[in-house]
Amino acid sequence: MHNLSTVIKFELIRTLKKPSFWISIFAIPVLIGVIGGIVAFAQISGNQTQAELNKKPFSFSVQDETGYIPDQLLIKIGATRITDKQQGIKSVTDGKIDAFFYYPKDVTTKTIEIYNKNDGLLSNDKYSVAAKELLISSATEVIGSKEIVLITKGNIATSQKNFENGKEVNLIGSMIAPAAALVIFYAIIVMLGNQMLASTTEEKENRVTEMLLTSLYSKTLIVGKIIALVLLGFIQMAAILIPVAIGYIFARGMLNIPDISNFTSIIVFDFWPIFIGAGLLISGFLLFTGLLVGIGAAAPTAKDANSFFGVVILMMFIPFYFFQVFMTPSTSPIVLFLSYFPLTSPVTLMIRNIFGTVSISEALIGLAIVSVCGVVAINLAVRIFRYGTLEYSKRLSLKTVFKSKKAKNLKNNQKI
Amino acid sequence: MTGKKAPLVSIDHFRMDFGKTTVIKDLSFSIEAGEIFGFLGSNGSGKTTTIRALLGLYEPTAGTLLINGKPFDPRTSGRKLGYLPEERGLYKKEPVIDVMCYFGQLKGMTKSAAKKWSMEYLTRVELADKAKTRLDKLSGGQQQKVQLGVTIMNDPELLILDEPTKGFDPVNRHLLMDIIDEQNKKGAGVIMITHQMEEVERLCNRAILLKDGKAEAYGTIDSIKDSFGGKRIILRYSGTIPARPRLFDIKKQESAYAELIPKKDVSPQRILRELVNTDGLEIITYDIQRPSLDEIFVSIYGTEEAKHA
Repeated sequence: MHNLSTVIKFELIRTLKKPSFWISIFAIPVLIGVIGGIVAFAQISGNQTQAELNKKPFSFSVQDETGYIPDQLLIKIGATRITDKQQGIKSVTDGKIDAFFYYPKDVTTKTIEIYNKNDGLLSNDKYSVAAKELLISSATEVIGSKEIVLITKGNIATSQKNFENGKEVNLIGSMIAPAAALVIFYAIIVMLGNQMLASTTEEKENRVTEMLLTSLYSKTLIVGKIIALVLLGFIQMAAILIPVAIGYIFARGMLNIPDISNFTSIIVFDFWPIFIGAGLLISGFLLFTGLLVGIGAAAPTAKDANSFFGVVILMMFIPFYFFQVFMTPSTSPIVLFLSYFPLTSPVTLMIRNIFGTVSISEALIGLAIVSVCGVVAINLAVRIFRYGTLEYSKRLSLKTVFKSKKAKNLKNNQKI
Repeated sequence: MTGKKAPLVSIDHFRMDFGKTTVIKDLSFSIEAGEIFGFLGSNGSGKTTTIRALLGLYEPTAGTLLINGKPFDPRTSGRKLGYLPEERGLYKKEPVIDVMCYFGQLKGMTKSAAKKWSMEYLTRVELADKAKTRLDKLSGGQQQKVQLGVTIMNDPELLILDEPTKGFDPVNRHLLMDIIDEQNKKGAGVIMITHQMEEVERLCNRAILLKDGKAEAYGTIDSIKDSFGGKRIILRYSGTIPARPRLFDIKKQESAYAELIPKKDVSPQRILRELVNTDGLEIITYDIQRPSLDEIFVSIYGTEEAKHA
């Protein structure tokens, strides 16, 4: 395409030179970092203070109606057993002891009563913790096996292997790659949507279209702008991910980042799910890009164009209301409609692809519909831009795009 | 093939419909290299539409519009075109030098050549210190200078100036005239779409006047003047001018001044001979003049329309 690289360079460099671009990238991570830092600092300080307070020994008495707490354990921890509840409470109120724990006969239906001197919000917790631990330790001794106690608590792990047609199936692993396609699709549209919408309004608002279109074809300009936008999207993602990657490699322990080496090893790379996911990602991107650029070109100002952004985003979120329906194979009319209606098809099929509930034939039909609509949308956007931007302050009518002779013959004039 | 060089611009039986409305009915004219051509007409007469069709922005309903014998192509003829549209502007939030380099590169210049040319031009128009300033930080007049610079980048063979003086201050109007003159001397053909008839008379070799989608007049400035109203006789006199309705009409008459319009096929010389021999009339001075383009414009489009133009 004639002058394509010039357009891409110009669009890319002028955006990279804008401080607002970098502010928009780093504002949220920096804000999250700052808030996270404050929270972490407060938590560390709080934990340290609490740990220091918890280390401080305290005196207490126990009245045990359950009969589980043995004397030797009470002696070991320096507690005394009493039989009068009121006496225990009075000892606390008189300041003779720090706490008194009353265990009713049936602790499963009645609560353990704890009476203690006030040590403040953070420190008061240590009394209830101690009361519970004392009973758990006593019960464990009665059972005689720590293992059985853990089992009854449900502290057990399982490992599962699924088989299909004699082969082991890694369900979670096979969902990761198709899910990545959906995440990338959303990230691109949400991050770049507004820029796509505003990409041509600048030319329109600045009355620069006529001069531009004598040096390049409108399709070159649109394609150049889209490529520049995609590159900017990659730069945005890289700017966010590179510091995270550096942090992961060099300071994973310090920053408390979870180890993902096991996670990456379980990803399953099957051809069809990846092909369908990637195909829908590309064709869906084309479709929504064409739609947003077209709206931007038809609207007189960026402000007018922005009012349509919400509608487009809504179309992307509608399939999520049917998330559970997509988890099982279904041929219900609503599933078929959402799968084949161009604006809901990419997200619907991508979700069904994640759960493996879409057949290859269904996916290919949907992919074909979205691809054709994507190409049509891009060409329509070019057409709208070509005529919409020459209308300058007016809103472009569909009649102008579809019915006028100038539009009818546009195709002949669009040699690249 | 005759080997004869094609005209710089050739428009042949051009027709343009927008839906049911016909803007241009049947328009034909040509412009040679090195010529300054006036493209005249009232508002809505189809001047801008014709230029947009010539530049491939609109597809004509019928007819051919060629530059150097070929339809306009941004990849070839676009490189040697200087176009100042009526609706004009540049990327306002970008630095001057970046915008100029961008347009230079789109016209086929290398980045370094575009930068060098831009700096020379900015120095000439005393804006070199504003090269890195955003366009919207410049005054309106300074922005116009940048716009003109972008228009003439890469030595255009064809300059199309649509209402070039619209919104220009007197300084920039002067700069524009210098640039037109300069580019023309370098061999560029110039199409001036304007309502400023005095500029057309001063600069243009030939012109076309559009009315109702057709050429109302087309040719050299002199031939247009001849075909519209011909000549008129300006008299300073004493006495009484006799009525000679078969020879002339009196367009204007004051105490010692009169403007006579000769009837068709009556020469000014015959009228003067007749008047010299008239008793009671003494001619002090006389002058034979053609009507101005401004007058022709008003006579074609009517007073009201001309006012709006």
